Amino acid sequence: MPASPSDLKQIGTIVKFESEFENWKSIVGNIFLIGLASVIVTIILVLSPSRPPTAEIFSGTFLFPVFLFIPLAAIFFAGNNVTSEFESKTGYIIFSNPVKRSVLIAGKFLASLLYVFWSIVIFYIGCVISTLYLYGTVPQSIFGSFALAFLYGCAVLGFVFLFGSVSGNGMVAGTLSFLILFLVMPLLQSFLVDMGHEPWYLLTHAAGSINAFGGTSMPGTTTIFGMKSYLELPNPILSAIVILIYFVILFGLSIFAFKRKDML
Amino acid sequence: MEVLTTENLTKKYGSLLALDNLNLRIRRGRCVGLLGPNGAGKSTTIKLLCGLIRPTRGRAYINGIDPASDPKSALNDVGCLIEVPIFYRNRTPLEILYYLGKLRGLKFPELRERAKECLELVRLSQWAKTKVRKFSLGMVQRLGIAQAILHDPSILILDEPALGLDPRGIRHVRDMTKELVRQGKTVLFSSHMLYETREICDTVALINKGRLLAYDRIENLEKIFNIRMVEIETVRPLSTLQLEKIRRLKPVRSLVTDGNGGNILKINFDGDRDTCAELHAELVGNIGAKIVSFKPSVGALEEVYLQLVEE
Repeated sequence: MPASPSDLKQIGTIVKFESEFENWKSIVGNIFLIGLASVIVTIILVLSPSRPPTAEIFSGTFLFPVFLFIPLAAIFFAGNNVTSEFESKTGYIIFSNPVKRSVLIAGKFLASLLYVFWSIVIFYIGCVISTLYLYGTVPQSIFGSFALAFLYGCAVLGFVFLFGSVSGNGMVAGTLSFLILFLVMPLLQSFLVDMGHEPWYLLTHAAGSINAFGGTSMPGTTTIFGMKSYLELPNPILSAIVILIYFVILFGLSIFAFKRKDML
Repeated sequence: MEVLTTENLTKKYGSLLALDNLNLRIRRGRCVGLLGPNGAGKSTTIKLLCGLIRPTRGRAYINGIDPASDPKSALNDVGCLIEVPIFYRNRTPLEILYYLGKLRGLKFPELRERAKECLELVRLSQWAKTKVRKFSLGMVQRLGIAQAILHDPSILILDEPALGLDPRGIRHVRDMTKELVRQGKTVLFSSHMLYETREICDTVALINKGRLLAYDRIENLEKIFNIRMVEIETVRPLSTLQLEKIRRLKPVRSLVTDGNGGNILKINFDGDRDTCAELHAELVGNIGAKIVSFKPSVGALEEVYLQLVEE
């Protein structure tokens, strides 16, 4: 009887299995769409009558769609990933193996994160190439922006994983995450801004730091679906901490919920 | 030594009491059949033992470890098959077995060999690289058995392993399970099929409405309920006179004829194994029956089952 491998090894096995070819079509499709999006954004910005005057503003504007595609990529991939064992009943097989549920969800999370990570990387590569081509330089702060975008991806996945672990339904997880990130939080943010209060603790506000880097981004770039945003730039350090806290709490809760969920 | 134990194991689904204070102790090397009607709590018991669901009250232990709190240690030496398993549809049996094998700590090339062996054993070798979505129910069930025995566990928990199989498949699973029992493995086997249970298991746990009604060796239960049955097949149907002679034999309580033209007799009698042997001698000697087969009948277990469930 072989001894069970370490948790870390098991996580590695799960990540590999979850990221393997089962989803390659959707991964390739997503990469293609993101690549296409970066080309379109470049064309729009280049053809725009008021072309951004500096590389910083160009990059900041270019990166605006990350607010859309990070949640979409996370919901698209992770929604089913976290709930598949419950929904398609494969849990009867996997849960009866000597694997801790926390290990299983960690593996699934990393596989989803890998997917989101590559989506972000592709878009940032698009941004770097366009900025370099048009301005001959790339702002240093783009690396900080990338780190924040990655962190934002983790936090968004946290929402999807939490709702998925509680409901056991991919559709519910995706819909709830979408509503929270595109409706509830932006509405709350808009309301608080109207009251003259900076909603620094809201994930969507903190995520505004992603394209408001270098202190040169245009005010209002975090506006989502026309909702009002805070006109001053969010503090990137504070934003990073807020996003990190969101991630830690959401992922911690999703592990708790995943461990307690009955495989009926 | 007890390898599977439940202590006051209780599970509620909302207001529905699925399992009520179940106490079971299964010793190493035993094959226990978990019997009961639909909704009796068989699958709930098995899911609790495999750590798929959490008990409302009480504990389940595998080798003294609670699978709900430490599944990694508890399930290391266990192979489970729960209901008709559902596999990752876009994967092949080999990929699935490699994945599960790696999670269990098997390494190549041993894993490759073992996966091959298991697929051969369940007759899926030629489908090893076919996607599971193309499989029939029976093939999926066989793959479920392959994954359960992949790591050669000493404990097997099988929930309706013959479900969805054709008669050949059922027989194959029965023979395979018998062989595993013969190798000294501990088997907990849930089934509706009394014949299969009688053939494979030495002990049965009868549950209904979440409560344990009886847990004993099949022989003991038959003794307790005073039900001993043999099924006898004769070359030709016996004459009325021969049947009357059998009915008049002292230990015989009842006699039923069955089969094509009545060449199968089911005799319910009082007594033990010696009485059974004497009955056999009497049939062959004084009554002159030409016997083709003489075996304990599943009817006895059925009687016990029905009496307990109806009570």
